[in-house]
Amino acid sequence: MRAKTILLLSLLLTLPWAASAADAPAKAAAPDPNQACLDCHSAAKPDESGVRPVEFGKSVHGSFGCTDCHAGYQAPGPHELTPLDGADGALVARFDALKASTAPRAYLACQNCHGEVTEQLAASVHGKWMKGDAKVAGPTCAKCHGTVHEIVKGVQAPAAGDAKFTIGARAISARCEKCHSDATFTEKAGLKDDVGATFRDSIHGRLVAVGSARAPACADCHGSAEKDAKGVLHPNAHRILAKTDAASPVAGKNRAQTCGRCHDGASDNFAQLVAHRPAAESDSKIPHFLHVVFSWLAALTLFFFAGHVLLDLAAEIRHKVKARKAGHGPDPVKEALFVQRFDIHQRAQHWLMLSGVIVLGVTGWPLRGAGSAEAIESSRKIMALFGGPHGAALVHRIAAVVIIISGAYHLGYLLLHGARRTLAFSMLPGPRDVFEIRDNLRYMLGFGDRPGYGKYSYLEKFDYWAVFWGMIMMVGTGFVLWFPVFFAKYAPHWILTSAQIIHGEEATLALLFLFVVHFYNAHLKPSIFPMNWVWLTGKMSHSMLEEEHRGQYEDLTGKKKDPH
Amino acid sequence: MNRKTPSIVGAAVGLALFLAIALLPALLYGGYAGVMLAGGIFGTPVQPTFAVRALIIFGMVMGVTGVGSLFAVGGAVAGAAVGVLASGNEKKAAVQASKV
Repeated sequence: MRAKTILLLSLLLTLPWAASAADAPAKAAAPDPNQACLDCHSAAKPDESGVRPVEFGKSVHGSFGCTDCHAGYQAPGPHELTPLDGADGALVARFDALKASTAPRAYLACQNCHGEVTEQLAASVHGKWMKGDAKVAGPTCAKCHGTVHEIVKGVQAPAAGDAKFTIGARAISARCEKCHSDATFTEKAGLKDDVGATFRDSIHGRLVAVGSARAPACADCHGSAEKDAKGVLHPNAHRILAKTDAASPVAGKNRAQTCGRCHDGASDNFAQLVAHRPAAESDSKIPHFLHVVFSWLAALTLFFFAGHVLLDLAAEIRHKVKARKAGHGPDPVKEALFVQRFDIHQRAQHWLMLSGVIVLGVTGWPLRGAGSAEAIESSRKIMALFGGPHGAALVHRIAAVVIIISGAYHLGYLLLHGARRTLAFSMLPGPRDVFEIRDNLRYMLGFGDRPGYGKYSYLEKFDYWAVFWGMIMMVGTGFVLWFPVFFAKYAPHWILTSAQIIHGEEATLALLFLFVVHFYNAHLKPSIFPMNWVWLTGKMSHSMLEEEHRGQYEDLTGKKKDPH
Repeated sequence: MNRKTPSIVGAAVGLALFLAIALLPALLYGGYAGVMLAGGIFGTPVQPTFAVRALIIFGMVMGVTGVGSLFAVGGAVAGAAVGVLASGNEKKAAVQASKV
C-alpha cells in the first residue's frame, strides 16, 4: 500500500515536468508568424524603410501578425496588390493623388478594426479632404499617431479627483502643430499658421510645456467631449469640427461652456481671453498701448540704473584707491558708534517683502520664461522643486499673501505714526533730490564731491516708491489673474488682458531692478559688501552714516566733514 | 577671522552654485525678457535688427547679473548666519571656560 502511494505521488510530481518537456521542442520550434516578413522588411533605424521588431513588439499592436493588417499577403514575396474598387478604391486614389501617405492602404487597415474612429474622423473637419475638393491632404491615422508600427498608448488617466477631463490628446498636440504651424501646408489649406505659436505663448501652452497635467492642449478645447459615468469629460481628438461649425466646442456661444469644463462659471467675456492671439493684440487698443508703455518704461529704467550701477562701481573703485594711497581707513570710534535707522516694524516689513518677492520671482518667472522654447527645460526643473507647475502656483499665491500682509503692515504703520503725529516725511521726493542726482552723476564721472544725502538718498526714495507702485500694479493685476472668471463677469475684456500684460512686464522690471540695482546698492557695492547690516540690526555705524548720509550725520552730530 | 569672512565665503559658494546650476537659465530668461521688451518697443513679430539684438544681449547681461546677485547675496546671508552661530558658540565656550 505504502509503495503504491509513493509511486502515485512520484507520478503526480513528475507529470508537469514530463508535460513541459514534451512541450519544449514544440515551443522552441514555434515560428514567429512575423519572422518571414521581417526577414525582408526589418529596419534597424527609425528613418529606414521597414519595421523595427523591438519597437513594434512594444507598440499597442505588438501582438498582431503582419497579415492582420496587411491582409491578403503571403510570404515569401513578391506580392501583387489586389486592385481595389468602390469606395475603398476611390479613397486610396485620393490618398495617392494628394500624396497623403506612402502607404495609402494603411488607412483601410486601421478602418478594419477602428471603424468607429475613422467614421468620426471622416465626419470631422480633418476628414473633409478625403471627400471634397482639397488642395492638400489632411491628417491620416499615421500623421497624428506616428509611425504605424510604433504606436504607443498615449491616453493618460486623469489624476484621481483632480482633472475634470482626460488629457489623452496631450501627446498628440505636438503633432497638431506639425501641420498647423507649417507655413506651406497652412497656405495651401487656407489656414492661419500662427496657432501653434500663439498657443505656446498662452497660459495654457506654457503650463502644458512645463508639465501641467491639468492644462488643456489642442483637442481638450477643440474636440467634442462626452462625459463618462463618473462625470469625467473625454474630449475626442477624432471629432474636431471647424470653428465655423455651430456644433464646434469653440464656436460662438459654445466657447464659454467649453471653458467651463475647467473654469466653473466661465462667461463669454472670459472665453475671449483665449483667442490664439498675443495678449497685446486685443480688440481694444488699451492692452497694446500698455504693452508699449510698460516695455519702454522697463527698458529705460533698467538702462538708466544699469548705467548708474556701472558709474557708481567705477567711482567706488576710484575712491577706494584714493583712500588707500592717502592712508585713510575707517575711524574705529565712529565704527563703534551706532544710530538707530530702522525700528523692528520697518525691518519686519522688509523681511516679509523680500521673502515674498523672491519666492514670487522664483515661482512666477519660470512660467513666464516658458514662452521661450529654449528655457522650457529650466522652467520645468525649477517648478519641479515646488512639486510641478500647480505646486509652484500655490506657493506663488502664498507668497502674494505674504507681500500683501507686508503692504498692509506698512500702511498700518504709517497710519499709526500719522495719528500720533510722529510720521516723518523724509521719504517724500523734493527739489533737493534733483540737485543730488546732478551732483552724484558729476561725482561718479569724476567731477566734484559726493552729495551729502539726508536720511534717504534719491536711490532709496526710488527704491521705496518703486515698491509702492509695484505693489499696486502687481497685487492689483495678480488678483485679476487669480480670479479671472470672477473679474470677467464684471470687467471688460481689455482689463483682464491688460492685467496679464502689466503683471508680466512689471515683474520683469521689478525683479531685474531689485536683483541688479537694489542688490548692488545694498549688498554688492565694494564699500558695503557683503551687505549693509541695517536690514538685520536696524543700526548704522557713524562711520557709514557719515559716508552714505553725510547730511543726516552732520545734523545729528553738528560736525562738518572735511571733504578732503 | 575677520567678521566679514563667513559672509564672503558664503557669497563665493553662492556664486559657484550659480555658475554650476543657474548660469544657463539666467541667460535664457534674460534673453527672453529682452525679446519681450523688444516686442513692445519695436513691435511684433520681432525682427533681428541691431537694436533688437542689443536689447536681447542687454537682457541676457541683466539676467545673469540679477540671478548671480541673488545667489551671491543668498550665500552671503547664509554665510553670515553661520558666522553668527559659530561666534555665539565660541562666546558661550569662552564664558564657560572663564567660569571654570
